[in-house]
Amino acid sequence: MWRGDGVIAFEAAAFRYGDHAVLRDVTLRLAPGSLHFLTGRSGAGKTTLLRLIYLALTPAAGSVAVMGAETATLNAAARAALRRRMGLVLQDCDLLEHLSIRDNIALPLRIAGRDPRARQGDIIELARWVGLDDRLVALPRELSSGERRRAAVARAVMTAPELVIADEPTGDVDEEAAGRILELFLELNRAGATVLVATHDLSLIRKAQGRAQARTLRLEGGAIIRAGAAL
Amino acid sequence: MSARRPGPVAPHGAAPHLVALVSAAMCFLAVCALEAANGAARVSGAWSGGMEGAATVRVPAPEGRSVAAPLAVAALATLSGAPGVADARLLDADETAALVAPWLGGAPDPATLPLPLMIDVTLADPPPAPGAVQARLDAAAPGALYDDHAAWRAPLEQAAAAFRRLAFWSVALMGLALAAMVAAAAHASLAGAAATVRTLRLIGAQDAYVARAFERPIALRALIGGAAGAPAAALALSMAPLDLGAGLGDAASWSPQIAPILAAPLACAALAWLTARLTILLMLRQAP
Repeated sequence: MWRGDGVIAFEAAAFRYGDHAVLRDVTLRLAPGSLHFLTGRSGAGKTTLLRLIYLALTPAAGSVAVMGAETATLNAAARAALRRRMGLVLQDCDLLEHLSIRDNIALPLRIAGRDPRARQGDIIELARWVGLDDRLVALPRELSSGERRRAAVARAVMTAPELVIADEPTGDVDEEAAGRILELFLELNRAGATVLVATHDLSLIRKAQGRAQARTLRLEGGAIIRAGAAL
Repeated sequence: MSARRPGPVAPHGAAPHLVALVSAAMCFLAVCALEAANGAARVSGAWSGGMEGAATVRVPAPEGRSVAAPLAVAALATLSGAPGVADARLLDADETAALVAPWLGGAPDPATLPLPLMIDVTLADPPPAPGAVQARLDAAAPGALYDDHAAWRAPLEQAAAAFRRLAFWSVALMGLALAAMVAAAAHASLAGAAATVRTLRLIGAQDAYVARAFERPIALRALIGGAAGAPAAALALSMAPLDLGAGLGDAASWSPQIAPILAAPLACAALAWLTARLTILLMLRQAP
């Protein structure tokens, strides 16, 4: 578990898509074991900021360090190793369509070189927690969008990652399922994981702030304009 | 028992199946080329082996005489003491006539066709330098010609070597063609599974893990194709009338060798595996 100075550290980071500057001057530092919610209007750059963290992008200016490693300097092997320490829930879920939900949830174990058969109990328990224990043999195309999102959440936390990054994890899910997903994140956070959730769901943030010490980051004009506990 | 766990990448498109087809064709052709080179080498070896260790001395009949006995006796005496010569024997008239009979359609009439006298020489190991023997003969029996059959053996051996080179380059070109096909198949497979690959990499898959997911099915198909093509070539060759070594004994008798039949599919699979792996890794490196 990373215990250095900031699991995520942005230093005057900027990113642009062509002529469109999405992030202009982002400086932030997330402490190990912290819980943060990232808010902002659509197009504010939340997803871009998350992509910089999970190494899908590198900053055009400034620097981004994740778990002590400056992302722009990493080679492919180091990027992969760093990603195995993260759990990602992305907007489009990215489930593998030819694998069952069970195999999708177990995929991080396979990639980490562990035998999923030895973790069947954990897989079933996790599926039960997100309400998919009766859909384990189904293929992703047989699931609703909300169920797909819950499967993606289960997959992201399967290996108990040190850093959880979630992009709108409760979109398309009902309130009860959203509560369970939040509970998963809080449990991981209590166990020491750093959790960063980008969301429009203000009720989710309020619930979290009622249960844990959660901070809110607001992206506006390409920069973090507020970082505080209160919403 | 549970069913086999599916791989992280779903089979995609027809390209991997074409690898099996191309591998079958390449193995068929490669085995044909190798077996042909092998057959030519055996025939050449049998011919050369038959002539190796032996030489002849031709003693022409001097003008106006039908026999050349005095010269032949002198040549025999010279050969008997020459280093590198194990034995020398004068062929009698019937043996000499039998030598030319196949070319004339029957035994020649000595009255109308005077034949030279022939001395059959058995060479020791190492054999003598032809020039040295000829020099001794020139001194003792002018006109006698020493022939160690090199003029016959050389073209045969050159032909066999040319066959081997041809087979080598044929197999190399077939390998190149298979590698090109596999590279195209790997490229198409990876492009068709771009979303899956993106997901695997986001979850932390190393490039080698992603490459394994593609290279294994491709190598397996190459092996299956090769395993069909190589025995088919052996069967076709066995059925073809290719008795090139007829009359040369067992050393020249030809039948398909098992080594190329076993090696060709394995080589195809190994080549496909390596090509697919390198192609995938290169593509992944270009698309971080």
